[in-house]
Amino acid sequence: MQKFLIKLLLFITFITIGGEAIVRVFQLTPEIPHLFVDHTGIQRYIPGQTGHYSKASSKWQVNNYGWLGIADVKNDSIISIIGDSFIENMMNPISCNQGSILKSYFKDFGFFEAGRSGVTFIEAMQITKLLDSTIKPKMHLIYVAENDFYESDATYRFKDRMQLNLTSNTIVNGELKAPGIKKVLYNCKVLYYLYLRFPVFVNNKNKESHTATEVKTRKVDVKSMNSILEFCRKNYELEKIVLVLHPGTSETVENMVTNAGFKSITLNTTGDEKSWTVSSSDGHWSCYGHHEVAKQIRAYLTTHIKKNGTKIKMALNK
Amino acid sequence: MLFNSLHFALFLPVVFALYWFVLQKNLKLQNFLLLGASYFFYACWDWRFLFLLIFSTLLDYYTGIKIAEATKVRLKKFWFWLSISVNLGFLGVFKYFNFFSESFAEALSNVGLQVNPWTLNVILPIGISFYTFHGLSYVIDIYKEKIKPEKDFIDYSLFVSFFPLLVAGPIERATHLLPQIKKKRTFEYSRAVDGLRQILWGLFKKIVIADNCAYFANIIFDNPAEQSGSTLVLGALFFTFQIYGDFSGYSDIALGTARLFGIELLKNFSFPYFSRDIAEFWRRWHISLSSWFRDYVYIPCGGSRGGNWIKVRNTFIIFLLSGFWHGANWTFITWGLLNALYIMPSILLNTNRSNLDIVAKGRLLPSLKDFLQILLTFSLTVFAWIFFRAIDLDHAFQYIAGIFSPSLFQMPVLPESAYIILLLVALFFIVEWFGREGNFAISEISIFPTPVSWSVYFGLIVLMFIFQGKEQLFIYFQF
Repeated sequence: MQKFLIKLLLFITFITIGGEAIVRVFQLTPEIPHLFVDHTGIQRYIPGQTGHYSKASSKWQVNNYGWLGIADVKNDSIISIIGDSFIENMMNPISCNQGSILKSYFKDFGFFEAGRSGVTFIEAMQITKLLDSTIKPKMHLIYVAENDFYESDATYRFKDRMQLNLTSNTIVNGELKAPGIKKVLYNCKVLYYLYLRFPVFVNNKNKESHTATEVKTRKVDVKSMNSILEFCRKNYELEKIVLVLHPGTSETVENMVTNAGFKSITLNTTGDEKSWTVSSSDGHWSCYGHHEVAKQIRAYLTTHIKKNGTKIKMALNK
Repeated sequence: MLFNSLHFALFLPVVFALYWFVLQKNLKLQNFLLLGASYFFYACWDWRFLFLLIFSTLLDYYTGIKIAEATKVRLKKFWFWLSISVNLGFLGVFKYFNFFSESFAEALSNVGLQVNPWTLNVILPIGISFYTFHGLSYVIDIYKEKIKPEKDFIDYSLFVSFFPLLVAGPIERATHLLPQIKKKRTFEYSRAVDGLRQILWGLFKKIVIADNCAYFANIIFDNPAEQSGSTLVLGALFFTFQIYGDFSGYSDIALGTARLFGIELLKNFSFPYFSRDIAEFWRRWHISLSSWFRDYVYIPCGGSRGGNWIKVRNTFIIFLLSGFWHGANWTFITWGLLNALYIMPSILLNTNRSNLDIVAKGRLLPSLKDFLQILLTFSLTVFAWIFFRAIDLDHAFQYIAGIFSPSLFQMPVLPESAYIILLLVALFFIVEWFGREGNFAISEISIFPTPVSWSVYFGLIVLMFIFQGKEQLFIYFQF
């Protein structure tokens, strides 16, 4: 028995070391940047990190502002692009990011992307405030799905997300999810591989909202949505904000955001035979999808923005 | 709890440690532990059906004793038929009720009578076909006075429910397993290492071969109308290796796991795709089921004694039952009947036992005759699997019609990754060929120096890391 156990232990050690090498060489696990919570409660990535998302063809890099993606702040007229994993867009090369594509249409503008997986609508609104105090964009494009409104309501608590407490009308900051375990898993890649392969410890509730491959739409609670929108009306500069609503957003939500004073674009896939998504199991937009999205935004921006030198004036009416 | 899950990877070492380190001196407690672990393993699927398993165990345990005690033939028969009918009754209700109800309604509608079939909205208790057959063989053996009833309820329950074989076999016999359960077991290094080796090989078959083949087989079988004939042929091949990798992989893990506890289970697969005729194939595929039907149906029905008509009849009966055992669907029945037709020439010509030895034993390559025979048997098997995999008979016929179309000679349209998997399957086939004289393909690897054998193990693990397919349930869990 002793011989068996010693050999088994040796073998497991050998496999662990070899496995670590294999996982690293073949990039079998996605590399995900480490987060920190800034003074405003927004979760951002620690600047300077680089890595490779397993399904993507190119590397990602965290810029000095703590976001992945485009940070073109040289221009006076900056348009920010805010959203969740769709904007973060780790699964596609950076040339497929909204910032890159829109830049090719509007060369006189600078585009700044602030995207992170798990950003709720209320966190996106907070990001507009943060950006207003730093890079001062002339306009914010916030990409949201109905889910993001639902997840903004702290009644349905997601600990790692920024939400709004509707009773006290206060922002509830998200907490970094298991930072210690994450540190171990990101460094010991064979463990991370096994964790991804056998996701037994993932809480079902969190699993649902975190799964990158699925984008589920929950029915919006009209009452809580109205409260969230009312909070936004009082606390943010809505005239600078354009909501880019994901395809399939209900008419109810469209009307509610318009009534609350938001300008909005509802993305439309009708008539497009080609799918916008990465795959049948991954609802994120592919490079093609991002181009189609940008085309619809281009049409909106061309119609609704009147350029006067470097100053942007937005049409007051839709 | 799947064999290829982290749950099992945690469960197994805990049971192993308790079994050998804490309870090694007490056989009763060891058996009790294994029984508790088995019930826990089963309850992880659906605890409600644990009661059905326990009831079935109690029934066979009790009727087994009663049959042995009965002094009058009528009483003996009463207990015997009670056990048989209740066991088959459960199987009938859970597995076949809807099939009969729907088939009856369909038959009536064919003669102009419209009725709504009365169906039951129940899920199939996992492993019911397997543990029912354990119980049936036990009761039949007692009735035929081949064995004496087991008096120790724990030992008997463990025979029925031992977790490695509980949900997908092999289908054990009381004559083989019960004596092992009752005997004191000692830890043997070589046996334990061999068990781990077989588990590793089984995992490789399941994770790399079966799960990857399943991905492409599903794509092709889901839309046969959109595929060329050549792609459909590849689809059937993918399924051929999926089902082999899946089921024999499961059996390898089961046998390896049992070996870790000092218990030898019946061998269930013996390189079936190297068979030279269909009779040989059925001696090498799902051996525990084939031999069960042989011993409890074919031979009692007269076997091959009594002329050709009896042989033909009995052969059709066991293949019909075998198809039906797999599921309540005409596709399985057709698959069974097709195999009966395949085997018929060798039954009638009395050549069904002409290939008993291992093909090309002691040689590197088969003779041309062996090769052609293997190729023909393999092709027939692949064709039959189409029925097994199809959703219904229309689907199967549509698939077959698609194969025999002009597009059969076009290049198959598949993603590049499909060819990588085919290459892996080819390598797997080569390893199986070279290992065919052993208990399982890599069982003889221990004769090489440790660095060589460890490199092979490491290579298998690396392949599992790189080519891990999307996790699929074991196919035979549904039976």
